[in-house]
Amino acid sequence: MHKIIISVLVNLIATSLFGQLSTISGTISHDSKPIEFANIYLVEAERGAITNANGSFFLERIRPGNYTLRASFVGFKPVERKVEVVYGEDLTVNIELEKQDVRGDEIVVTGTLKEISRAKSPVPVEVFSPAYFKMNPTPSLYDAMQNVNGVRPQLNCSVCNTGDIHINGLEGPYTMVLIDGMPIVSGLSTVYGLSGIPNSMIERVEIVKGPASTLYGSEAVGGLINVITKKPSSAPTFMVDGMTSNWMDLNLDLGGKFAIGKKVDVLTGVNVFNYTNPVDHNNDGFTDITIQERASLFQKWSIQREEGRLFTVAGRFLYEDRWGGEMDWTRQYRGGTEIYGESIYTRRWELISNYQLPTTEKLLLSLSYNQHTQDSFYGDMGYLADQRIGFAQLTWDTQINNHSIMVGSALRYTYYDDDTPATASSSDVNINQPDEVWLPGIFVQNDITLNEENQLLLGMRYDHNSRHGNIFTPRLAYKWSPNVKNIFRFNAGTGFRVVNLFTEDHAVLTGAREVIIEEELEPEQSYNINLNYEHKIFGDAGRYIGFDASVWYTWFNNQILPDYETNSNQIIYANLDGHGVTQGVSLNVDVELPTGIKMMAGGSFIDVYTSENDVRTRPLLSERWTGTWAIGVPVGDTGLKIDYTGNVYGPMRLPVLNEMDPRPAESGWWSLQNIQFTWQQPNSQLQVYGGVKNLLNFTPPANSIARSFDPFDEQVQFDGNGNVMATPNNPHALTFDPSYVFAPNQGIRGFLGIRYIIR
Amino acid sequence: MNFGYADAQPKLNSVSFEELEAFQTIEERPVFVYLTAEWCKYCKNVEQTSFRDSEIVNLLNNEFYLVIFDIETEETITFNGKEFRFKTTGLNTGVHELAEELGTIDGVLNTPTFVILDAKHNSLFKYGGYMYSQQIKSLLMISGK
Repeated sequence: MHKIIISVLVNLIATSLFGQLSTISGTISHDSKPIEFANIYLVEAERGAITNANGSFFLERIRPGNYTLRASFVGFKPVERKVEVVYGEDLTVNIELEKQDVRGDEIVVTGTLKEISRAKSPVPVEVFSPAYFKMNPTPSLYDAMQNVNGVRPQLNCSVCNTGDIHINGLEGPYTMVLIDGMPIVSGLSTVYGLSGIPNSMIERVEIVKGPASTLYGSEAVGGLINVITKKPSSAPTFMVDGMTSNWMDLNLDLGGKFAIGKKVDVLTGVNVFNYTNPVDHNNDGFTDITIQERASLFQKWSIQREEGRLFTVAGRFLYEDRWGGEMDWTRQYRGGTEIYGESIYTRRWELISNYQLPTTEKLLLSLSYNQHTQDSFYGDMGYLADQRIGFAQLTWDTQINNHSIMVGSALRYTYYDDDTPATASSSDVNINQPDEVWLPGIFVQNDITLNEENQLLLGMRYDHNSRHGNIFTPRLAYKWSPNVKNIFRFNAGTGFRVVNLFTEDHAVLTGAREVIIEEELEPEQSYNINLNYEHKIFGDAGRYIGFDASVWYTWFNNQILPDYETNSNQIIYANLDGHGVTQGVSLNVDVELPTGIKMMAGGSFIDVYTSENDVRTRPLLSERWTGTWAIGVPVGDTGLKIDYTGNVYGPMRLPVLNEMDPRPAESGWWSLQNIQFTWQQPNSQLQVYGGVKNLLNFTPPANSIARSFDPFDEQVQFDGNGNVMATPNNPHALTFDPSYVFAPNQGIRGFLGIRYIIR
Repeated sequence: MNFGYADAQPKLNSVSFEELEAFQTIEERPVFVYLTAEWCKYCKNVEQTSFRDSEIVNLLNNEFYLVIFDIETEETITFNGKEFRFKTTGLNTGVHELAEELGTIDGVLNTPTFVILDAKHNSLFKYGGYMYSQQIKSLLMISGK
């Protein structure tokens, strides 16, 4: 009896409680046809559902009230209905959707971090979209390279912060930086010219680690970074991106496009970077990071001609004023010996043009010219340099059956002049004799599609160097792709490089040491081999996992390496009486999940050594292990995204001056990690981002600059032979040395930025 | 997590733009245009998942004319009585005018882009972005002849 009463009571209570809640149901359709998998969302209740095969949805247990019901399906105009839920009553709502041309929001559509490299190419190319670099936004492309596995931006000077880009353990000069396939960044400009490429002009960055192909010349043995400038069709009408940090620096990127009539599109990009707040956290009396003010302007004209032929003209101009040194340095001390400062004014302009000849055969003419002038003082040592590079290339592209043939002829002209004895007449030091090199060359490349699975690329390049004569560099690349999910690539060939000391080795310029060139320096010849395997797994709803593994081996029969160790007062250059090797293994993993989570991680093991008289030495500043990662997590529907990026490096040998040098001779393991929060409402034009860089607050040792209190070596005593003597003031027998640097000297800091994009 | 490779399925039929006119005179059907690019990762995903789904393949084979178009196709194509050609926009890169004509939304052309045209080749639906198989299936069901 009790049980029955209790159960009846429970039922009564239950119905009275649940009886207050209503059900909203209905169908979503188009042209009266039901839509399955459409979304229905009750905004104020934060509840949603998906329609079934009949286009019907059910939202149960809704409390009485006024609500907004939103129906949507990809590619259709979302519809909102105001509904009122009345106590005890169910509601039926039927909604018709109309089509609307829609693009997925930017995060989905342009959010491919790493596009699949052109499957046509037997050479393994990694293609990074700007979305990847936005996970850890940096003021310049140079800094952005830290997030690419196997690529390491290396700072060469604590004071002036010049740097170069190492690929797979090989130094800057082996890395070729191209803009739209043209080698206009080289020599002097690798030192300062990589900053000031406005982000708004970058369509994508193509990176080849290891030797590429005969198309680009014989020197890029380490690798190649090709900055592709934007196509008008993918550029926004207007964009502005400003970023600052608690170091009070400001980076501003502006971009826009406009059309003139139907045939001309003009893209413009401006970059301004301003950092004028000297900071000295490590208390060595010197600025931690160089003060920099720079502005760069880029413009590209694309003109459509008949038959779809290409004609583009682009120009870039950069001006930079940077200085680093003792904290109380000001411009009046430039070039003097009272207060130490390194001040560099850089002025650079480039002109690039591509023109397809009005012939039935596809003939493309590429021209570029750039001038780079540097007006600098390192303490009291002045250095003025002027470099001009002209480049012209004519390529003929044709298809004969399954042979895709390209024949090209290229001419590079390099003019270099400075105010040092390096560009003086050999008979009379007072007569200025600028260095001029003409490098004409021809190349042939045959890309043979043997069948759907096999592709063979054969290339041969011939260059004539006005000093070293004939240079032949053959190349062979083979691609085997049994299906879309697996690709094997094999690449072998030779390389050739002529060394240019004064533009390449910054330590040479600073005059901290005397430069000794023991003999006529021979060019470096190398033989290289590279094996690459890609495996891809595709799953529904956008799921993707990609693996990319590489093994490489390069053998140099000569390497011009600066010898810092024999004499701490000198840098000695000589030909290598032996050979050099660089070899290694790298692995990249790329994951994308339907929730929108994207992860990329990569690691490399790099072994670099020189063997002279059977003695193997590992060069300085060459890491064995490197790793990098980037993880992007969107937080539900909030419009918030979190990016966690970082890299880790294994120990490197560091350039200490002598055995008594108190600075560590080997760097330990070190890592830079960053976290970023980005907030953007879907279909909004505004994006706010901010976060923390260098979470672990890693900085190089505080005593990295040796004898920073005596930068002009006024208190250093030398013995009869020119060697440094240990004195009470100088117990370790050191001289002022700013070239001991392996990591950026900026600890943990916060950053904040805003982007506004009008498509 | 489902990373399954699709099972054996019926072969997906596709036609070229130039064959469409002939096919429409025999039997009128809406046209499903799929704009893709060789380097487009999301496109490869659609091809490996949705285009291997037997229901989607059957819907496309029976109720639509499917055109799979690489936006970097180099041949000149005549469509709807007009000639469209390939435009070089840079070294080794360019875009086909027909892809731009059919697929541009708000001044931007993305891949993948899904376009549905009626039998007279008027635009019924256009979406520039990734769609997963349930969405494509649902779309095909409401757009079929």
